[in-house]
Amino acid sequence: MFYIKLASRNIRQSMSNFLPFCLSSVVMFIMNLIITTILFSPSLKKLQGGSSFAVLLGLGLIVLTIFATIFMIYSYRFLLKRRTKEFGLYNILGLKKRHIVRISILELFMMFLATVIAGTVLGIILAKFFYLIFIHLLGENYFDLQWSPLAVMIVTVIFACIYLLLMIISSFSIRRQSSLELLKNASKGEKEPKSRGILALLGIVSLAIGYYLAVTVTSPLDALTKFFIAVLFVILGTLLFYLSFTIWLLKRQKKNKDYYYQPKHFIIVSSLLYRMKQNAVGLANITILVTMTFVTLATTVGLYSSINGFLDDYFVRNTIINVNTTQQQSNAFIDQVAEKNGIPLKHKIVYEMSNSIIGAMSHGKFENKQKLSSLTAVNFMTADTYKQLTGKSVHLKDNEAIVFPAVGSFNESSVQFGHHTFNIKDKINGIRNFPSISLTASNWLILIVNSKSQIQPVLDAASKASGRQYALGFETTISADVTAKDAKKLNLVLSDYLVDGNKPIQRIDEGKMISGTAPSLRSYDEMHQQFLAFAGGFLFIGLVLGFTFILGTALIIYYKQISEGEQDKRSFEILQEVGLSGEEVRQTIRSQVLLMFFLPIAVAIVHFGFAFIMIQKLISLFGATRFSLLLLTSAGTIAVVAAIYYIIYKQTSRAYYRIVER
Amino acid sequence: MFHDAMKDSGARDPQKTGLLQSDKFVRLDIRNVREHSLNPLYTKLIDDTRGAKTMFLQVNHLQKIFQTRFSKEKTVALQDVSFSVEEGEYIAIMGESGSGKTTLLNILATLDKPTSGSVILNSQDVTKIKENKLAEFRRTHLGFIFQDFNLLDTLSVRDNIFLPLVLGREKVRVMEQRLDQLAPKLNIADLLNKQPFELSGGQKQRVAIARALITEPELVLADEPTAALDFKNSENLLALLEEINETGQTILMVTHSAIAASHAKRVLFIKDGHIFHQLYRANREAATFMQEISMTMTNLLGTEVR
Repeated sequence: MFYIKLASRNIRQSMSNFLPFCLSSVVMFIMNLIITTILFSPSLKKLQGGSSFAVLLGLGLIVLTIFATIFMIYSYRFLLKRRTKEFGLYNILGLKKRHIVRISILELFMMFLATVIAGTVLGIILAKFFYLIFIHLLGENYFDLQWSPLAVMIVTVIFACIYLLLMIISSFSIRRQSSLELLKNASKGEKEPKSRGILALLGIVSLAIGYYLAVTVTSPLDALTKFFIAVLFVILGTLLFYLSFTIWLLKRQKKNKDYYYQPKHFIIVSSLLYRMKQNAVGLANITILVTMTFVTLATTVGLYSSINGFLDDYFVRNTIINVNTTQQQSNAFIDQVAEKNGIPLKHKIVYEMSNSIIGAMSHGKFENKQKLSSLTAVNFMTADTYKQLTGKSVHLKDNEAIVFPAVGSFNESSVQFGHHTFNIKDKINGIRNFPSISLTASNWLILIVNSKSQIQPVLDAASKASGRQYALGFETTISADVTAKDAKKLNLVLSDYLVDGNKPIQRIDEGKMISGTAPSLRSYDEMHQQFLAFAGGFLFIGLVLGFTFILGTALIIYYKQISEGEQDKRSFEILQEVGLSGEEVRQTIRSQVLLMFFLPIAVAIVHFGFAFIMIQKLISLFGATRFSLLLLTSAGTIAVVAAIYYIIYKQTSRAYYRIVER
Repeated sequence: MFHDAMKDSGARDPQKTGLLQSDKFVRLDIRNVREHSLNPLYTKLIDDTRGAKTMFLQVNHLQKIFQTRFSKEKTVALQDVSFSVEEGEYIAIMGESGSGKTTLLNILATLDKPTSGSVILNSQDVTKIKENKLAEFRRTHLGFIFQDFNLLDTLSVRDNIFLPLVLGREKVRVMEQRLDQLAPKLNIADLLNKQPFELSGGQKQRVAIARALITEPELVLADEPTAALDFKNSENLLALLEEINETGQTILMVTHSAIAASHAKRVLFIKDGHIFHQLYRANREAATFMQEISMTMTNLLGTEVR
């Protein structure tokens, strides 16, 4: 009881020491809670692609947990250092180390309880607040962020582990030191950090690996699997980069006497070097958080804003009907049905293609197996159909093909399907009146060949390899402009029919057993609605996460400013006494603060640059791949985040100036 | 030695002049003190000593009144302080805490401005220097020794000493040359690559002295330089300051310690914002001089004055 009293009195009395630590603990808790809440939200399951996103969120949660741990240790050590004198005094006044450890553990336990309670309450309030703001912003409810006890439980467990770790750290550091050391610790200076070449090299290497993974992503599904590994490498690399590379660089600058012994460089280089070890963790955290903000916001905003473009690319006309049989039969059938129901089909475009075969494509060799990194869908089109669509006639030999890589890229000179090889005669970037985008997540390749007779063996082989029940054949796509009302009516009528290869199309009658698939109809408006619901949901999640990350960043920055301000105050006083003018002091502080602020954002932009390719692939996983638009939205996002970051910088550096100039 | 320029002043033999003045002073002062320091005779006396030639440092009728912004209450830190210092002198200003000695030092150091009066160093009134020129003035004309050393933890010992020269954009070659000369004299040559937290108090203060001297200042100001040191380190440091003074360096020290003051050539006593007495050491031993200082302190600052 006595120790509980002592511990709670300690916290109350040195609130100024405990408050920053508590604040960071609570904010970290909230960040984790919001991600977990989204993860367990029922709305996520309803989202198309929600499950892959749930995987990403899970990864994000792991990253953030690692993060919270690092940051909590960082701020706890800072707190501990300030309090060691107090502990030393207890020790000298007669408390045993064991008792002091007990006090510090009790203190931590109290802060843990405070974190869980405050974090949960604030987290729920914040979630509601986000919800209201974004509904207002997007005009519609796309995502229901529901509070779940499970989420709170999970995050509480995570934080219990972190606090346990802190307790271990505290008891070790108290036991290790003698009482005199405890007394002196607060005023102890730090030795200049050593530059460790190996760590610097390791940092650069792991950054390079992370970047390499990001850049060499070949398909959307590949991106998903590599994403996490790349992220881990980049985080490790960033931390090592700040820890060792910057120290190495600063040491090098220090060795160059003519550079170092100039007033501005002298103060900045020496004080940066002095604090680099502590700085490294803080800077790495800020960098990673800013990068996460960029990635989340750019991905979701990019996804949201590319809906229209995507649909425009897909819908050559506002309605698309797919019939799984030859062009002749399909066309006649649709015309007949439309006429019977009095539905006009305006600006009709009809083309025929083989069914898709899906497999792994590498170095021009197609294999009938499911390999995520190189999954490709291939459709064949005859030269006749190509001519009919574009008006251009092409002359192809039997073993020649023209390739159109609609999604992904293709640079080989030939393409091989089992025993059948086609030499690539030409590569084209688009076909008139033909969609330039697919609804599937894989790459998409269209091959134009001389005639159906070359294709059928390939299709048969693929059909056999995949063990399908139905033989692969040809399907027909009919695009036309139809009013929304007529499209609905047509869809209803078409669902009564079944198509089975080249057999005549039959109407479903009761009592008669027939097989086949119904013709499908997609309309622009309906898809648009669907996409908006799905992309809007992601946008909501993205905005929530982005906002949370920015909040975390702001907190870390503020924490750094306050703690460093206290340390720097005395230095600047001395400098002024020795003969640095007030103006020079301000200049020095400004450039020092500026560097500390814009270094993370610069590194984050580099990170993002490498992540961009990955993001592009990830977005195409959900269907959209417009490069220039994504570039634009990314640039816009970076600009907005940078602006918010600048405001945070302005505000927090004011706090720093206040402390230093007081 | 430390200053080539100061060799010239050595010809004047300040010690001898000091002795002459001292005789006159002691006599007049005893009477003066009994009648309290506001006696106009005393002020006149100080003016007399100044009259003959332009002094190196002249402090004229300094007054400093502190007034907090929201209260009408005024605190007079310095009432009317005048004295002068010759080049190459070593002066201690003694007083108890609250006597105004720190305020006086801050004004001399240009860290504070007086309410009225002037401080003239080498025919330049330092109280009139513009705010934006002050830092440069401090850097080039003054050297500081503080009681808590004021070394920067972020810099190595070498860089701490270089600091004022770096701020003055001195060439690296020049800085190194000066340090090479200075370091052996202060016995810090082995410490140059260490960090300040690795040093003892005495070592730190020697480093601080090196930092004060490396700019070759006209005047070194020391604020209780022995306050944070133990007896032995204090003795060593005071001996060191004396040695430095003998090379021609003018030193002005503020202290409340009779031991510290006894190493100076002249001691000024300050109380309630006035300088009301001074003693010359002449050729006496520090120990003997200290006894006189102690006695004066007891007599003048103690019961009699009140």
